[in-house]
Amino acid sequence: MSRTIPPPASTERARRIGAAATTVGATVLAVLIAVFVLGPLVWLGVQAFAGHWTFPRLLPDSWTLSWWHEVLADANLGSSIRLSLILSPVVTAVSMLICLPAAYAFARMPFRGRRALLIAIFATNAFPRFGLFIAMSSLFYALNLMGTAVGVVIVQLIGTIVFMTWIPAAAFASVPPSLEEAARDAGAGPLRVFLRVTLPIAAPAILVAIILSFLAAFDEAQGTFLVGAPEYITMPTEMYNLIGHYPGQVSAVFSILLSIPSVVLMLLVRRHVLSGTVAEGFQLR
Amino acid sequence: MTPNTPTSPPRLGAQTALHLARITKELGGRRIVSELELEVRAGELICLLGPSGCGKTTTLRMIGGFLTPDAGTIRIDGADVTRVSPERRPTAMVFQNYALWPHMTVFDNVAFGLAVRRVPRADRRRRVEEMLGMVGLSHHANSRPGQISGGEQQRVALARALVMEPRLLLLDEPLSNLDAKLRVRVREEIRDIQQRLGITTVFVTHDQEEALSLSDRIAVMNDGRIEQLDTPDAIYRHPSTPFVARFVGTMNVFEAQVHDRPNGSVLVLDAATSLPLAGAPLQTGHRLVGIRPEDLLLTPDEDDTVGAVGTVERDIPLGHYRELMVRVGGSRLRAFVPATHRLPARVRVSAARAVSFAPESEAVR
Amino acid sequence: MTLSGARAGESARAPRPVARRGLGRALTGAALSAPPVLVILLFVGLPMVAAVLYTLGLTGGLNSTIAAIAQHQHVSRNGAPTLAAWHEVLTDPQFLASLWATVYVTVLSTAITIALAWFLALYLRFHDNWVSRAVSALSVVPMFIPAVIGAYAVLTFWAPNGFFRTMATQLGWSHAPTFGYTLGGVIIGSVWSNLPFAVLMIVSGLQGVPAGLIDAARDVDAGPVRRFWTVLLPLTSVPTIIATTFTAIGILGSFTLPYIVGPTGGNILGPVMSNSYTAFNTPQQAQVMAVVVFVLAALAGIPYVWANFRSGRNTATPRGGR
Repeated sequence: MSRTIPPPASTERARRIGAAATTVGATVLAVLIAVFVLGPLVWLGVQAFAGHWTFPRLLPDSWTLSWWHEVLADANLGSSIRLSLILSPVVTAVSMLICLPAAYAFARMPFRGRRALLIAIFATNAFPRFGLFIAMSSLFYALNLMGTAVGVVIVQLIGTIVFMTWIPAAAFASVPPSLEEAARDAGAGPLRVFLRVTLPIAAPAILVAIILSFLAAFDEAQGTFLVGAPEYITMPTEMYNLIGHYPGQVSAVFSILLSIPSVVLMLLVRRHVLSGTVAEGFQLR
Repeated sequence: MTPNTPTSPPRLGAQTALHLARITKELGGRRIVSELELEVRAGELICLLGPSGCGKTTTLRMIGGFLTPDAGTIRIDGADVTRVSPERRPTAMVFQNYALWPHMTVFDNVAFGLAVRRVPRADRRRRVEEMLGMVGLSHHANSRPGQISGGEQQRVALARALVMEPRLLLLDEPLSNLDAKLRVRVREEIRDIQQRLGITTVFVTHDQEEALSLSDRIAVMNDGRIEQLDTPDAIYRHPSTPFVARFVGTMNVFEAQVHDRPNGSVLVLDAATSLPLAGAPLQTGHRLVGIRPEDLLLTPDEDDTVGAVGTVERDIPLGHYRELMVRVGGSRLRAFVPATHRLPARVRVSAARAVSFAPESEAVR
Repeated sequence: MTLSGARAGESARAPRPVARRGLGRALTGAALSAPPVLVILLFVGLPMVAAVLYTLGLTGGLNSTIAAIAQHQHVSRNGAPTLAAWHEVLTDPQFLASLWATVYVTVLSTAITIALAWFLALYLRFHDNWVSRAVSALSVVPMFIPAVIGAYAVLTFWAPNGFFRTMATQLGWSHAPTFGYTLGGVIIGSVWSNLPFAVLMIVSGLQGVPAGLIDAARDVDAGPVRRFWTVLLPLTSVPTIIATTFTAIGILGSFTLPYIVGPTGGNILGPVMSNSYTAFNTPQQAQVMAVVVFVLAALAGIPYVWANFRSGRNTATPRGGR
């Protein structure tokens, strides 16, 4: 400390009290934010088990599982759950196949227009999906993709591409080149270097990208409905139908079911997400 | 500063292990290495020594196969490897930051290359354990690189390179990330292992003390070329260019008129100042003269009438010796004297030995 | 990249060219990066161009299907583009109201989101305890919740019989406002769903500010406010800009949330354009709105591109030897 004169004890005490007050205030605000974030989900979750509920009681008057029976017995809902759980992994896999080699190229093979392409991939994402879907319908009719599973996969794929190129590209770029060189030096060919060194080191970020892509695909409802209906009704599309047409509790039950894959995946990658993988992925280098 | 004499003399006439012939490399439009020539003998440890940007690392990376020269050829044991990829070269590199794979254990790091070569598992295990034993890390076989110290990481990197039994060991500033004490210890370990295995080694460093203490021969590099290639002793005693004189060790460099006298040369700094030289005479005329601080002889003014008159301006104790800054005429010279050698402020200065260069040689380079 | 299989035997050291350099490597790079780019070009770029052409009354090619079923179209005569559709939309008071609502909701939501994210990031940076860690873990949850669920959850939480009103009534405030089906609800929902990304960006940026720099400022007696403006904010400007841009673009183009939470009339453009197509069968007018939103998003994206290029220049170092 450069201060030469120690502050008098009284100001020091006032300062300490001020600092403590700030800490308490900040903690209260932080907790309020936590309630703001988590509250809606908890509130919705309680409804799934609520029988009758009079306002303004904090908890339902009676509890019941009947809404769960209703949802699980409904064939439409069941089939939409199955469809979603098949489609989303397929879309994610296709996205990986298409995007991961590209992400590696963006990270490791400097070519002209590399940055412009990365920005273009992101920029096209800023055009409202709905506008795209209107124009896309002609294209889909022309390519005979309307009402087909392939069409639905393509519609869902579009939203995953930013995640699957940007985050892995940043991860590949952050693997020190000397680690790859050391493996070359030890006699490994390029493919083995990639599989044994580059990929394992970039794996956490790729896992995050896979999960965000899965969720993006899983979440897509508008385009899926436009292209897939009435043949292919996924969980989120079904959810649109539920809201307003069924009792709130049915939507609540369905919401919980719809959130299960996401929450499981989130718990899986929480640590990597918080460690800055996503943040890294959106800073172009 | 006393350079160690190499513990084993370079095996003269031995077979050439590595030959760089007129190697040139440009990076980013700048010529980094320029028509470089170098022959390394089998079993020899050679240091590429130079300031940052002199092209030493680029040269090493070309030997390792991580860069391809724009022109020239690289031969290892007579075979042209200029365009051979790193995984097919009989070289092994220790990287500056060690480049240990963080997701593998120490054992797996060392075993990786053997696995790539499909060495049978039992054989692999034996060789890795033997190598870890040699670098004293058997107890860390199952640790991750992140769990061991910098010095230990350095030794893992060395073991990983040596286990491949390369024809050529390449070290890229391997000690620069270690603290001073550890650096000296690891440097001795490297020299010890290198001599035991008799492995031809190219060692890149910017630290002249490291180069002097380790090498059979030193290649002093500047601006993409080798300025001088010689034994540490010769580099120190007989620098062939002013750059080498200044870069290796400490050297007083100044311009002077050299005259012949019956008992040796006299260096005339200005009208009132001439410095007598006791050792081998220098070429006469206007010269750039270099004198090592330990070669300046200082005696109290009252005892002696020989030598230029000097004033001690600063006296810095450095343990077993002292460093003096002596004003002689218009120049300030640095001198090393034994710690016990007490001197008054006014001294007489002469030189035991000196080297000289053509004065314009500086401008030419 | 040349891919080689494993070789058997230690002696197999036949000379082989180094992985192709220069042009070859650039070509491989371009080829590897082509698939996602082609997908984007075909299924996003092409429809985008078609959409713009359609707004100008060009109904051929990709627009023929939609043009065949659309009503109230403005079709170009003898191939010359027409601005009639643009004129109609841009002079429509309902559209203008919706446009302002969009801008207002976007600016306000983005400002709140970034302010909250900064608060959380600062709180995390300087208070490491279980509360801060729990709050940080919770704050990313909305990122993993499907949009439709999130929107529905926000709606019920702030509905007339939701938690907010319930709590308020319990505490004796019987006339607490309702945010369901209002623009206020859209703002709340937008903050809710965009908070995780902003928190991730700013926390990561703030963690990267060396403690030494903050202590140095403290050492010259800079107070917390000054430390924020002169040290923390400038060193975290790029992540902050990225978070701001992404949040703004996300809200501009959002559909699900305003559709579920927002008002029936005077909503933001996302649901309004959808309505224009599905309810009124006027896709051309919907496309004009889509292009307007895209232009707004592009404007919001300028700082992002600028920030990236600036930081790219600062950190870019040529690879290879010295």
